[in-house]
Amino acid sequence: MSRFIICTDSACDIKPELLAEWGVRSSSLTFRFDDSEKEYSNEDMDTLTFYQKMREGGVAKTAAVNVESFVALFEDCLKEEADILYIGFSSGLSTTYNSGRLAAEQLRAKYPERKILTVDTLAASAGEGMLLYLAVNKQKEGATLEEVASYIESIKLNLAHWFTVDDLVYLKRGGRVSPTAAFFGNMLGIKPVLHVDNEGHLTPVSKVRGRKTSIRAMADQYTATAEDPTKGPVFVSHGDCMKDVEELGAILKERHGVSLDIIADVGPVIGAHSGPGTLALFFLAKQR
Amino acid sequence: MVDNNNKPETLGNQTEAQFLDGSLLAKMAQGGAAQLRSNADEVNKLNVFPVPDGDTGDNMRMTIESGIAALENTTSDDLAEVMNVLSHGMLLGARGNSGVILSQFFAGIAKGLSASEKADAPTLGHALELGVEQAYTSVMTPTEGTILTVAREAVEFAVKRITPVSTIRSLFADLVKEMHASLDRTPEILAVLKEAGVVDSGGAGLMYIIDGFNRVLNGEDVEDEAPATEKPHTVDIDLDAFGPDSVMTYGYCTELLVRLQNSKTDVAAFDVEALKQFLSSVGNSVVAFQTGSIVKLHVHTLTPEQVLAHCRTFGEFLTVKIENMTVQHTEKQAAEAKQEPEAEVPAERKPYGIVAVSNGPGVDDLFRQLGVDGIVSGGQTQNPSTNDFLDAFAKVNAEHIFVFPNNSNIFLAAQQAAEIYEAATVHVIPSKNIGTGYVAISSANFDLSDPDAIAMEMEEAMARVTAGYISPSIRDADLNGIHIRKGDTIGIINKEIVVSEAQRAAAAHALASKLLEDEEKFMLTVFRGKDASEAEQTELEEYLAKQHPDIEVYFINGGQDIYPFIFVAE
Repeated sequence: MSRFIICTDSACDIKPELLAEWGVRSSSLTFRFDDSEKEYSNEDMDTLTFYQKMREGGVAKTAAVNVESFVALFEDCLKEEADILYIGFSSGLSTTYNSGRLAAEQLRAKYPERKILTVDTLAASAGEGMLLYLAVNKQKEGATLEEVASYIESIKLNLAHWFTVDDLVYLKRGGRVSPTAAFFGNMLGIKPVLHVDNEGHLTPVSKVRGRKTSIRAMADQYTATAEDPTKGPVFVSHGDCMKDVEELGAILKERHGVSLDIIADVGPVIGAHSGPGTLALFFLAKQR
Repeated sequence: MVDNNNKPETLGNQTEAQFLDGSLLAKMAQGGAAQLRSNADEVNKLNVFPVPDGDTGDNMRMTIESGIAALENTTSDDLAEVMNVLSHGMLLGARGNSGVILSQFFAGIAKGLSASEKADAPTLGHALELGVEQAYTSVMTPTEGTILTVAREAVEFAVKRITPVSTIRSLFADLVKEMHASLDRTPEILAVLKEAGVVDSGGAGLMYIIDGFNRVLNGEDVEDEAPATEKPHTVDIDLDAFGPDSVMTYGYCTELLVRLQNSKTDVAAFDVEALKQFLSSVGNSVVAFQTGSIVKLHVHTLTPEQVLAHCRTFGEFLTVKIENMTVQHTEKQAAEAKQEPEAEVPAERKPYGIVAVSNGPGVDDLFRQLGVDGIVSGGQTQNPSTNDFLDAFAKVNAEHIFVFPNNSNIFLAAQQAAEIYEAATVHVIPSKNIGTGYVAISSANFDLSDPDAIAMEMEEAMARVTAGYISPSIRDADLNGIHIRKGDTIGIINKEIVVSEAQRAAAAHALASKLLEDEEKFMLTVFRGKDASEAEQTELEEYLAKQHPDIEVYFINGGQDIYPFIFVAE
């Protein structure tokens, strides 16, 4: 049985140090502010600086990982005589996964003896991150490339994302939310509660009055749909709103005795679309 | 205005006033309106709170004037017919809760007189009793010490005194006498009146109307100091509004008075409901009613020729009025049309539509953004009529319409319109101010298929919030243990004065903090009125950030009248 390396992309919002600890390699989506040509990846700018710029009115644009970058990332692994499992960002939100898939196809021809498998997680941010975490755990248990890939395929539609944003304007601007969401308008005090559906799209589920209510609504979704609410893992990611993370964590702790296993920053490549004040909760559910 | 020249002659044979007939009733109604007009300001000032939002006098005046305007086309002497036309006009023109109750009182009387060409005292007495009954049933929870009590006690008193020698005059003399007495007792029944040192405003309005009736009956000259400036049915017509290339979208406001013809139909068995159904199939804003052999109808339609042809299958026209609605604009309508360029009726029928009463350009915008289809302008001092609601409903093409009166004094007019309107099921959501209305509308979940469930959700959302507002005080008062001086700013929560301060900012601070005393509250929405400056808003924002740092605060530049700030805590 040959060695395999798990690869991902920077939409998973897992810090590079942690990825390194997990033995996961990553390729970066990029972003730039529209007043400059300078391209950044998540590591080039700390999230606080990034959100400060957004709050000041900066408009950030993002670019998917291209095929070439994936070819470079994958080829390094192949040269080390390792097989590859690419666990990628929802194809419903970015062409990144497709770039990975095309790169894999190209390299399969060039390295016929190696195995390259790809999984479209239909997930984003630390939801993609959680699938990655579960894959790494399986890998550590000694599962094969195929076993890990089919495991992730089998559970990916149980990976629930529930999130709220401070202002829908960012999601609308990036075209990352379905047009029906226009119904929500951009109203003061009205907060949408969204999830990621089985096609990997962002979908508004309800609107509530006030941030606190939206946080409670996310906790309610956890209570109602978690496979086993008393058992983790529970991940959250946030766009510079640590107080709200604490509030959500406290509710879950009080209700179910669970702790937040990973608190991730929503990095710039996701944050450019969701904006400051995004709060997202990830867990394994009976269904998305 | 009572016509002085022919009054004595006309009333000459009525000195004994054994019978009330149609033409006498029409004159008495004019007198009632004139008497109320002369005293409307005084009635307006009979406000429990010392805030400049009293308008009961104006509401009742416009309600009865709308009835009188409807009489313009009637020359009949038939009491039943005149009473019916008068009360229908009042139903459509009813404004404010007192105006709606007044219109229902008259509708009940009209029912009692529906078979009477003329009436003697016992017949009229019985009809008055039906009027009281209908007035009581028009409100969900009748409150004593109000217009209802004044009407009931006066009618009970007068009916009890009817003897075989009673005349219409003696009946009205008794009514007026007891109305005065009953009105004076209202503060003993309703504590808020006593505390405020006023009598009930609706009761006072009714007393003036009946007093005016009585004066005409006695051949008195009813002074009309302030003649009506507003005639509900008069319109300014701008012919240029419809040019050679204009597209007919609004249709024609079509009003017909039809005399049923024995040669064409069975007059006694004429089915006015079937007529309404026909009218609904070719237009909207349908109103039709029958009095004897006369049918009056009103419809907004793109094809008035169909209506004319249909009506000739059973009758002939007494009067015909067909007006192009594009050019039929009063000044007010023109101003509204400017604000609302997309006012034409959408072609596609939606499952749900929303009509909301709004006051202030900022609130209008907010409501439109929230998906409100029809805005009825009005507020504290300008209560919309039943007809204003009917017009707004007609512009919303939906199966179910949710209507938000956003004021407790507009609720009944909205409800009355909901009952009359036939082209959709109308649900009245009892929102008491624009703040709670906003909460309800923004909480609406139109994905639900059951409209009652949607309405219930919205009502639950309103029940979770507490609203308050500040307003200048227009007189000294001692209310709720609070000493108020004229010119102070007072703060009101749930119909209770909770604060009075010399400085507006201090009142705003105190009221906001009072609302946030409840530890469950985490969010405060503040509507800034047209009388509050941006600097005042900034000052208030800073105060809230400092004193209530954990509260989410949202400001909306509402631009509403009267109240510099409206607060909603949730």
